[in-house]
Amino acid sequence: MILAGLSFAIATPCHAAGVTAGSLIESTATASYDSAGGRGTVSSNRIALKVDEVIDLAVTSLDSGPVGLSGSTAVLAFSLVNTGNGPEAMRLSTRAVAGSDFEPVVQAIAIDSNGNGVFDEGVDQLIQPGAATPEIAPDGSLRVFVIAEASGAAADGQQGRVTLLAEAVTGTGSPGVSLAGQGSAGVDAVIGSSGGRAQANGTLVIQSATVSIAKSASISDPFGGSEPVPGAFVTMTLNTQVSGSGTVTDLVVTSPVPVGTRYVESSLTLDGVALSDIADTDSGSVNKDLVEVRLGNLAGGASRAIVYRLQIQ
Amino acid sequence: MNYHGKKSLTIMLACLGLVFASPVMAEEVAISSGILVERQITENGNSRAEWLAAETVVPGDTLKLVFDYQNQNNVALTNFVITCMVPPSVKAKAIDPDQLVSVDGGKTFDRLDRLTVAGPEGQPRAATLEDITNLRWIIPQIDIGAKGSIHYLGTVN
Repeated sequence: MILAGLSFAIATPCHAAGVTAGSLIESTATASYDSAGGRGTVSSNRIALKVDEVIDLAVTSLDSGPVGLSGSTAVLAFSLVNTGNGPEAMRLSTRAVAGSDFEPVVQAIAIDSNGNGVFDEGVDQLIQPGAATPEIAPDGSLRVFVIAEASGAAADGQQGRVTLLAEAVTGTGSPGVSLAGQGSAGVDAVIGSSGGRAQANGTLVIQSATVSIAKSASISDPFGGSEPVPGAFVTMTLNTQVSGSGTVTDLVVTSPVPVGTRYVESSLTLDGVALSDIADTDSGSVNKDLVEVRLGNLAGGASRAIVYRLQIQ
Repeated sequence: MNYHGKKSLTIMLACLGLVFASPVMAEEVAISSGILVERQITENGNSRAEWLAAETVVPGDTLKLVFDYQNQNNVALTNFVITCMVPPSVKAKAIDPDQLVSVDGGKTFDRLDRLTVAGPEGQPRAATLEDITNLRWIIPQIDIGAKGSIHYLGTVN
């Protein structure tokens, strides 16, 4: 049959997997009938079509929203699904997204080798940009991590987006394009509706925190006044404020005991609660030279009041 | 029921001659099976669907599974019952309401709307196109030398 000037469009299904590439679809029929010789039977020939491989994939972000970047790096998670009907390896790469507040720097791409849903450095397989994943079975999926850091002096709350791009190793192109003999089991590969490539964006948001300490002193002298004379007591207040969307970790506030004063024993409090002077299970400790309070992790918006007394010598 | 007269069948076979493998020649009747694939053809910017012969398919393709028959005997054949199995990777599509089908691997046949299958918890539910395992046509009589064709449509899973 000659069909010059015509073009054929092979179906480009958008549903997942389906019958496996390389398998056969066979059709046959049997019949029975009455004739002069009685009841007869007959079977048809058996005809078979081979199923080509459809190259299709999908990428989606697994993060429910922007991923906070409060340390040096953050991990973006993606799902890469082989929606074709043959095993397929996918090349992975990342792209910057125009219009971001800052351009994240991608340190690594990895696949969740141990399948525990989180990035395990030294365990999960790293994929160099442009390199391919292992083959993914039809309807199979891989969790992919993109480990990124901020660039420049990104400020608290600024967002940076990263695109994870996956491309089928067998080929990409316009949907319906056939790649002769390049499918699994030697069948033709047909580019599916995805074009053999898929991508999704992940977003980082800077979560920094700053600490400010306002130190104040009030004096009570032995004569009922507020003069800094020997014997006067000085009440020191350290109002510690954390601001920003991030969290400070292991925050320790120290304040030296000034020369010419002495710390008044058992006068240390945190938010009105007494702390012992010795280094023990509570967060405070004092020696003759230094007052120390360990505040631990504090999120932006938190404040703590440290109060203690000194006596002027 | 999808069977046609001799004249239209002759035209059809002439168009589709390359599609079919050599039929099995029985003493009295021959049946030839073939599969056509629906393809969108674009010509001068216009797109239309055509049934074409193909050696390969992809999931989502629509198939026309065709069976041609011819009475090669010197007497008429009666009560001609032809049965086929729907390939496991194909789902029957949009059958005639009067079409005889089976949902139990060919043990019993009836109209689809009269058949049930076991639901997920064992309770019966109405059978659907996806449940069809076999189709059957009953042709009362095939005259001497007469030809005919039957088909059904399916979608590659």
